[in-house]
Amino acid sequence: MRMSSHLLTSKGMRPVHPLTKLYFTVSTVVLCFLLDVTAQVFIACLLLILCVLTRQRRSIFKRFLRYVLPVVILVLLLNVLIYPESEKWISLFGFRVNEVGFHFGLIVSLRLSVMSLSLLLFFVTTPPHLLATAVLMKGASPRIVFVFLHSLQLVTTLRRKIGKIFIAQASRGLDVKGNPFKRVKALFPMLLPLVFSYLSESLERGLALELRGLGIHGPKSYLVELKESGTERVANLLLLLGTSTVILWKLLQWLIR
Amino acid sequence: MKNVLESFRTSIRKETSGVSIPFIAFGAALNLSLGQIAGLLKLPVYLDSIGTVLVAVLCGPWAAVIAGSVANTIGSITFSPPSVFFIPTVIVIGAFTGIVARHGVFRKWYTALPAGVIQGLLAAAVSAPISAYLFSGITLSGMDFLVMFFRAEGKSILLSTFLQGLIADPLDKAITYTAAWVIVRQLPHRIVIRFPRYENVFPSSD
Repeated sequence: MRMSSHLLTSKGMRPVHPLTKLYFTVSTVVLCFLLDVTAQVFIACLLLILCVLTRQRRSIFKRFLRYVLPVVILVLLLNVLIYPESEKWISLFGFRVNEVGFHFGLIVSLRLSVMSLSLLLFFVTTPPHLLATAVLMKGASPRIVFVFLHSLQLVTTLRRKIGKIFIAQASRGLDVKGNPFKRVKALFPMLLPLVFSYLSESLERGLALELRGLGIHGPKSYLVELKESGTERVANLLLLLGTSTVILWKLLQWLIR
Repeated sequence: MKNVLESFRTSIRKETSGVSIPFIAFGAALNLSLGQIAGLLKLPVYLDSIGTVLVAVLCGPWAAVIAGSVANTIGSITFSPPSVFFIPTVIVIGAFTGIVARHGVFRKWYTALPAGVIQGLLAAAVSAPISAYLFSGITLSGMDFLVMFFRAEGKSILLSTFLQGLIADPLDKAITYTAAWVIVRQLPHRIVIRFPRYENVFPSSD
């Protein structure tokens, strides 16, 4: 099965195994907390290059601009304008800003950007079914993997259903625009049909899953065969060793202090 | 020690089998979708843990922890990358709800409501350091203006996020627990009996 359209690729590069990407993501997130600003800038640049190289770059940057950038800007602004622990002020683009707050805001914003970019790069370039297969092959619980995949599918279904229930209940006379107390009361006629409709489905689906042997032990076969290359195995090991070394080093520093 | 581990394993297996598995997935998806209902009804609450609470009542604490963690991971993929960092909060919500549900808290509204308030206080205590140290108190949750207000008053980031949580979370969780009580109270006995923790809703003498 071809996977190149989904995975982190550029022209001439082979698809990267989902677990290597997972290790890379966890490492960058952990390291951006432990390392100094220079290292964080380096990680941010590396992530930016990787994002530009992927085919899903548009989706990554779109989500970043829509969901992350407003938080980053707010974090920076809040610290610049109201940083209670400092009275030092500097001039920036003609505005008088709190110096310590500005530096603190920059560090937090950078950390937030690195974490979010890393997570977006991983989740946007890794299709859930491939990630699921990869973790299953490593011995993860099939039940938890099913929960993850089924929830992903259900989110869109439920949102559509909520819209329908809202219109149906409003047309039956449900007061959805009254005072706060009435609106809290309106919550229940919307929630109950949603939960009840899925409860009976849960019973059927649970039975079907048991019949298909979801919790069965023993060797399994997979629809998609994912193989780790030697380079990926070395990369995984290096990422694990590198991150563990930094964690231990920081722990030692903290203990000596 | 071996016995404790074995009892944990049995408990996890009991809570994550049969009808529980699709219901855990539903709980996770419900957490992510209920913000939409709160938005449609213009309610100033998150309602983002009602799925976890329902799973905790009907399936148990382990199942609720899975539902909450999966919901936050999916939240990170779909619309809110920071939500994965709030997994410790959902672990506390799931575990606490599962434990209090075993004591019959969801059989009466007057026990569910105060339990929700306590849950809110706990959630505020766990979320505050995450919100303060990772996001400097700003998470675009709609309650950020409170953090800004407290910081302008000269309070530290940690204290500001904690105070914001103290104001928002108990109300949110009290509504969530009451909603869960209303839902489980109306569930037909023949359906509830299929769930591993049915005795949380109907006492075994029923």
